[in-house]
Amino acid sequence: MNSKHKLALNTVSKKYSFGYALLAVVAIALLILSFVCDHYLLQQYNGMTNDLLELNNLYIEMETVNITVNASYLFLKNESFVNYQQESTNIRQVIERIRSGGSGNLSSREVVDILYTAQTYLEQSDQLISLLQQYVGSPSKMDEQYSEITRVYNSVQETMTYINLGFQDAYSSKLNQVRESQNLLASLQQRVVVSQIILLLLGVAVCAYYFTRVIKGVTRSIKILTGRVKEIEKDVYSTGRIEVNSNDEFDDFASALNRMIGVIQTQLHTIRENANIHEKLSTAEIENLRMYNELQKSRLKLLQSRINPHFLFNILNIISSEARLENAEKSAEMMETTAAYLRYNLDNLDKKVTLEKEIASLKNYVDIQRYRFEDRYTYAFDIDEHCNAFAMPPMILQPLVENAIKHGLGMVLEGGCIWIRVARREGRVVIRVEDNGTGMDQEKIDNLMDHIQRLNTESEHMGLRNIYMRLKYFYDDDVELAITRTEGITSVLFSLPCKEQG
Amino acid sequence: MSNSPMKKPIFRWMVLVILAASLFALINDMHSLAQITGNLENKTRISVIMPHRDDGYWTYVVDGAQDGGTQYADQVDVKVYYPQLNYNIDQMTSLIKRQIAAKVDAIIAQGNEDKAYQQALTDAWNKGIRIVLVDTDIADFVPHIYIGTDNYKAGQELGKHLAELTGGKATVAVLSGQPGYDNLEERYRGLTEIAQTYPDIRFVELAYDNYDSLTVLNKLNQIKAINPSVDTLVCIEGTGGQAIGNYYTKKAKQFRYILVFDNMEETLNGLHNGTIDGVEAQEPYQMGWMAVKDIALNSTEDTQTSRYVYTSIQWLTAENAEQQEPAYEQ
Repeated sequence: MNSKHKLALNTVSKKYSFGYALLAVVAIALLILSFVCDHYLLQQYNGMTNDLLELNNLYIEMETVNITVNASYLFLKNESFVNYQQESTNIRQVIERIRSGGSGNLSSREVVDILYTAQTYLEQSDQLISLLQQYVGSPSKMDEQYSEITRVYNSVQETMTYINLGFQDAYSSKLNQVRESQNLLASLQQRVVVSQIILLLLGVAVCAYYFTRVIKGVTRSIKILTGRVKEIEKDVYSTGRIEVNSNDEFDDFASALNRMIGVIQTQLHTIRENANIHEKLSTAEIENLRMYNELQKSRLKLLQSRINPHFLFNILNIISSEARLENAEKSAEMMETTAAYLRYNLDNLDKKVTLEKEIASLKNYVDIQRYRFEDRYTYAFDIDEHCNAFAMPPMILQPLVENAIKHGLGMVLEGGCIWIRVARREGRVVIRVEDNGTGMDQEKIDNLMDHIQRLNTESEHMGLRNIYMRLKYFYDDDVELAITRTEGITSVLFSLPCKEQG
Repeated sequence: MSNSPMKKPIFRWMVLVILAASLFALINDMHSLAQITGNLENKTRISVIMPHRDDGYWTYVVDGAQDGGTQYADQVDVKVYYPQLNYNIDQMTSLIKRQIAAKVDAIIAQGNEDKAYQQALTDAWNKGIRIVLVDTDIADFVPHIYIGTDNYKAGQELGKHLAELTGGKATVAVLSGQPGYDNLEERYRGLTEIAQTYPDIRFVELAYDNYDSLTVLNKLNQIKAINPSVDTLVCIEGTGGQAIGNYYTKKAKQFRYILVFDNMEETLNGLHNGTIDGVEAQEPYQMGWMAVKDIALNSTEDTQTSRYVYTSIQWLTAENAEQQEPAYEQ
């Protein structure tokens, strides 16, 4: 079916309507064929009967007119002449009727010959009657007239003989023609019946075929839709586009279903993406909370550690005053250093400090350590003065130096050295604490780095990790940490972004 | 639907072919009926008046005329008449008069020297009826066409074959149809003129068979009885050869040589079985067919073909007659 028909039959109801219309057309065609053929056959039969009746009528009229001709010739009565006029007129009318009626008689050579012979007869009989009337009206009857009348009369009768012979031929011919026509009509009748049966069977076959296709199409559409709906129930996300191609409402239904599947799939996709984002956000939030928790813990520890320094700061100030009174200058100096160190801690608990202050506090700490270990260790400071204003959280350097003493130089009895280096490099501030202590092998260094960077683990290196976390928090994660052991020197390096004290 | 109903072309074509075949059969029947009931008044009515219902020579003439009538059915209608008695001139004359009364358009007939017969044809011509003579012409007659053998020439040809066959030495009896037929007389004239150039060929008798086999057989016996020296028989009319071919065998052959006219089934059989030694074959079918054709083609034009239309002749012997069929076809 072409696209035009597809457009026309675009609903199930139209398709069914077309099928019913097809049935109606077949029925009407059968009726028309039946009517036309019956009418045609009846017409033919009537025509044949009328032809024979008309021919017989002509024969009777010819016999009648010949009787009047004979009567006129034999008895010379005026009445016969008048009768002749009447009868000859009748014959002419019959001949004219046969000619103008378009009957089948004109298809018979014998009948056509009779019509012409009848005309010849009338011409001769007219002449005879005219001669007879002249002869009767003539005062002196002449032999020539008589001879002429006799000749014409003989001609008339001779022609009448031909007419009679012609009628024999014509009846025979017409009856043969009727027989032939009957055979043809019987054949035609059979063909009409066969044609009607063929048309009926074809019509039924075409309609049955059509309706079967329509029903199959509908069933197919429903099957496709049902199957796809089941697929949707199982997994809407992987369901492809539904194609019915039925050119009816099922196409519309499939299109609507496709749109619905599309919306569902889009929404599912969005939900999944949102879930991913939410999961990521939750993870980040948890991490933040954990970091915050870590920070709080660290602050708590700092506060806890401050209780003693405060107490000790007060005590140390009293002891330092007493030591001065008793001229114990060294003790007084030690106590003042310790007090200064503790004050730094106390004053800068929640503040950011400059590198300069941090270094000053670290020096107090180093002095205290010198009192403790005397000349067992040496401390070297290599500080870039341009970095003095560098802002940083407090208590960063001291734990690093403490770690170097505790883990690096702890077992070194003499010659131990700690280097504290601060320098600006490539736009960053690099803080490096080095020692020549026992140090660590590379595996240990790797484990240490792993522990520091794995945020949620507890380990013995909590101090270093605490520093690392505080720096990350302070510098928004922009912190690089490197621990190396090269040529007997263990180095802990922090690279920090330049951040001036504001 | 993608597989829409009525989509498969084969199915569509099958339906159309069946419907067309049914319709064609119906129309064909109606057309046949219409042919039966067609109007003849507008056609040229031709009456063929044959002298003899012979199942031979004249039958071929009639076959040709009727086939011509079928071929030119749009222009002409052909009807054939025979006399009740074969070659009955009175009855044939009466048939001509009947055609005049019926005002036919053309008459095809054989020429004859009978005055009443010729008068009837003259009356017909006077009434505007066209005259076509076949087989036999009438000399010095009303305007007409002759379609047939050049009988004089055919007679001469027959004479030459006679001399050739007999070696120029024969005692000959001639069997003709009836006196008064120009065609037979022309043949006889041509035959004797040639034969007389051979001094040893003698013509001893001219007999007439009246165009019937019974007379033929009777005349043959008479000839032999009266002139036992006759060794060669020449039939210049078809019925003689037909009767000989039909009733004689080579064993019962009464003459050394028998030469006949017209290739009919019987004469060809005679050639094959040795009864007949040679046949001067005419083209009777052509005569009938060409006569109707001439009338049909000139029915709407006031023209005529030439006065004489000669059909061909052929000399047949047992040797060249093997493939020869009776002259049915045009």
